Amino acid sequence: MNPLSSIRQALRKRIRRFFDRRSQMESESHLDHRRLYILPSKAGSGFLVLIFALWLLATNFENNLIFMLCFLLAAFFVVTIHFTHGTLSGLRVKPVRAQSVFKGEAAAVELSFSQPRARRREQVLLRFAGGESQVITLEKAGDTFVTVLAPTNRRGYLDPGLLTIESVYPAGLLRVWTYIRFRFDGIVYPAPVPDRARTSGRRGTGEGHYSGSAGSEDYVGLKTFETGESLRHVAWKQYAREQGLWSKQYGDSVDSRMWVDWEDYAGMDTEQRLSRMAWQVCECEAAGKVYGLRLSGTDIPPNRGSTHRQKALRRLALYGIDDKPGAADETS
Amino acid sequence: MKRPDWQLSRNGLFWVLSAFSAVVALHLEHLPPWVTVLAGLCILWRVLEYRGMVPFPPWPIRAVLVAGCMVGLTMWYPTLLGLEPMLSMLIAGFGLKLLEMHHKRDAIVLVYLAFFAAAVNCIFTQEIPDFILVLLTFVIATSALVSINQPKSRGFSMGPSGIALKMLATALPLMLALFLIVPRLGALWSIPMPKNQARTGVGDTLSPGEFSNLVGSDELAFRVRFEGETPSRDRLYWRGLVFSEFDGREWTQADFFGPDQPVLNRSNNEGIVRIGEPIRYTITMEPTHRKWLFALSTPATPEPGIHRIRDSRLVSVDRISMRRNYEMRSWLDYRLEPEGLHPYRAELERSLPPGSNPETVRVAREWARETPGVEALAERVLQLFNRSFVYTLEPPLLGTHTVDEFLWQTRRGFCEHFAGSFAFFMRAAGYPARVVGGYLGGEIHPTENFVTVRQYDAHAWAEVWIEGRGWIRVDPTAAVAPERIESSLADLFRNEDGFLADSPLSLLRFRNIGLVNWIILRRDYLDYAWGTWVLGYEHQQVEFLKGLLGRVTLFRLSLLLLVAAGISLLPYLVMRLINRQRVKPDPRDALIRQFCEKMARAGLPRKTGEGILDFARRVSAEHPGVESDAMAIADVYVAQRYDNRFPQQIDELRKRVKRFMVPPRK
Repeated sequence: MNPLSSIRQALRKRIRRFFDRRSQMESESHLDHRRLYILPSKAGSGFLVLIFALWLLATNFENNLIFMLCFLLAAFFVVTIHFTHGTLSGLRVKPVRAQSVFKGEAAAVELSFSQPRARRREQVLLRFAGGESQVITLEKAGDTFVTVLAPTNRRGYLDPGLLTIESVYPAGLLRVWTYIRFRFDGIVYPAPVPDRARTSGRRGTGEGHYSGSAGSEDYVGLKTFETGESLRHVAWKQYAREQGLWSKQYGDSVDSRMWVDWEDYAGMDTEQRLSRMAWQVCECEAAGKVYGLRLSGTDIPPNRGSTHRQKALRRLALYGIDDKPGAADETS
Repeated sequence: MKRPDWQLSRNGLFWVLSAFSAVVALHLEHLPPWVTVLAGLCILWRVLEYRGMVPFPPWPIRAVLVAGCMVGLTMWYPTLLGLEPMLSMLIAGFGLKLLEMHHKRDAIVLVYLAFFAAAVNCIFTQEIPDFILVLLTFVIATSALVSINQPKSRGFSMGPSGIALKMLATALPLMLALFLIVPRLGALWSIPMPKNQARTGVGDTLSPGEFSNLVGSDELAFRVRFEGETPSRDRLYWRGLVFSEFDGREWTQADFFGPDQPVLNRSNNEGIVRIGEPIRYTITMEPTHRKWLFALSTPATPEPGIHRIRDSRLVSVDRISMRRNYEMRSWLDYRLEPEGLHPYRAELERSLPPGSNPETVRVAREWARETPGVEALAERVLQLFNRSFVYTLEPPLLGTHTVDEFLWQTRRGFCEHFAGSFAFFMRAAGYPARVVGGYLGGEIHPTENFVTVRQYDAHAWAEVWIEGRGWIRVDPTAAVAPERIESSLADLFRNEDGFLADSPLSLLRFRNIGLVNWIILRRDYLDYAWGTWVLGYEHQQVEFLKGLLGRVTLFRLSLLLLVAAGISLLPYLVMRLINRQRVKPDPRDALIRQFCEKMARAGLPRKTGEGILDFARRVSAEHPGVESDAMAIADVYVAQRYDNRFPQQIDELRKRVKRFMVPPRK
């Protein structure tokens, strides 16, 4: 591509890093003049050129009416600063909950936007770096919940980096924006990598069951739905009766205790091992097996069920990471 | 990175098309007809395309259209450097761009073009109604700008115009402050002016029928504001053109740069003796696309770019192609060239075309012998006029020897007949004489201190030169119809056909109706104020700012800007305060908040996004002792808030929340 765009991209990256470093993990953010940045957008720069052109026209023709129109647009530009700023100012943004996902998947992150008074705020754009942007409109007083997809590219605590909240509404001449870095409670599990060669495990007895579905046809019972579980297992009937969100458990009666063991994957680096172990955990759970986790010293005793699975995946996700959200990025 | 909403929305398209249509409508009379048609077709095509009936034109067609436009414009206009060709190019380009507009980005550029093209209209015309139309176009273009930025889902809606109006209104005080204080630099480089438009007005030649045509028009010529008393009507001879050359039919002005026409600078009083104090006034002149200016004799002006030449005409360096203000001082008592005429002038002002009007020449020589002295001879001619001539708007047509026929046969004429024949007669008698063209009188506004001069006030009179006294003004019309001098032509000829023939519906025809007269006077004043305070503001700027700020310093100017910005945003802030008072939380919500606060004190705050039922369940799980109370509160709240079938008994909820015992902290 042309060299200019690569320079621009490099610049953008630098700016982003500057804000990244400046930002602190937050659990709530009140958007006011201290947080909001506002600068002319590209269209705004064009508008300034228009104002200049009108000024030239007025000056050269010594025409006071054109001066008036020129100043009207200039004043319009100035008041637009106020109106555009108003599109975001006064909002409170809070993270509500975040999905736990495997690395590489987009995590659905729920945010709450609250405003003290009913006020129409249109064209508010939300975007995590590298993620899809989403446009929302706020209207009523109180909380509005919005789900944004956050890309994940590192296992550990979910930290999608800076959330950009921006708007050019109403005139498109100025862009008001802020960067927020929220503390989310989601976990990014290692991306599962299938490795059938080692599915046996050391003490596994459930050969033939890893293909899963055949062995997990039997309905075992209900358990509370946990974030991250497959929607296919949701007990919709119970949910419809307003009895809460449950998930159906399937399993079979074959004794299939097995260990997902760090030592099984000798010769690989940490991430490769964790990915394969994560896959193994999922396989076992899907097959309804009873499995345990051995991870350099800390064991999770064999069990099954989604809580167990989650516990295991969480342990894998946080392997080698301090038990503190936000610390994850220091490791890479 | 591509934004998800780069595409132009439906409503955006609608508003952009509206803005374009408004601009084309504004410029209808400045565009070649085929450009207008092209613009209309482009709009039509875009609309049809939008409705899925035709595709976007493929690029070869567009290329052909662009090339065709360029060729067309080159052929239509002699040069592409003028204002009209550039405007036509802008509009044609705008129209063609519509045919490939999909992106918001394109639409925004087009809206900016619309702003610019609309503003260009102010170069062509500066009347209040036209400016209102331009402002309207600005509102539409601003709405287009807003609509482009609105969510895509919206259908056709007037919504954007409301927002645009609100924002523009907010911008007004700031605009006003900028208008008042931003200094005007004056033209940076020379620019093409609009083409001469045929306007009525005093022309640079004088032939029979010239002035009686002007009587058909109520167009404004100029306005005058006097600093002191307004002189009486009969002294308001607005002298403009001096006709010294006669070819037997037409009077023309002498060459600016003749051997005896040194351009005198404005401080040069050569040849003029001024007596007494001058009167001071400012003239706001409508564009004439000519160079001459009008003033009372004898004028002097502090303005640069205005020269007085030897025959005491005022000439502007540039053509008056826009409304122009100039300050004047005039000494109504004066002697013009009393000492004697330069030989060249004496020759010029006496010369007659050989063989022209033999009868008049003969009579003039005879009378000159019978009645020696200029004054006596002039008196005799005027008496002849007074006795047997008729002042009329519709004089009979004249043949070859116009003066002969007029003086000895038809004897019916308008001011130019009288002035021309008089000057001819005096020349034939051997005295220097010339015809002067300009305006007489004008309408003196009864309450405001200004005079409105219209085209129908056009007038011609004569000047004769008398040894020792210089040039003396003689108005032969006064001898025939003295009432013309004292009252306006409008009063004189209201019921004649020729009067206001060009504007049959002019309000001026109905001045005898009180209300109409009142409206005309208000309109005149508004127009006058517009000319002085808006169109000619740069002449008032320094004085006005001094008056407003005391001293013009950077600090005070900034303060003015800040105050204006404050006023701009004041209504907005007030609205916010009012809104704050208006929105009251639902009392049930308030009660539930109390309940949650109680639990928060007990160490169990409600989480963000947690439903009240979930919260009550959690409370019950943590503190089984209050389970029934907590669940009851939640149930009652949910039932009352969301289920219309339940009676709205707020007391029930209040009682329960009040009674709720906070469980001890765990």
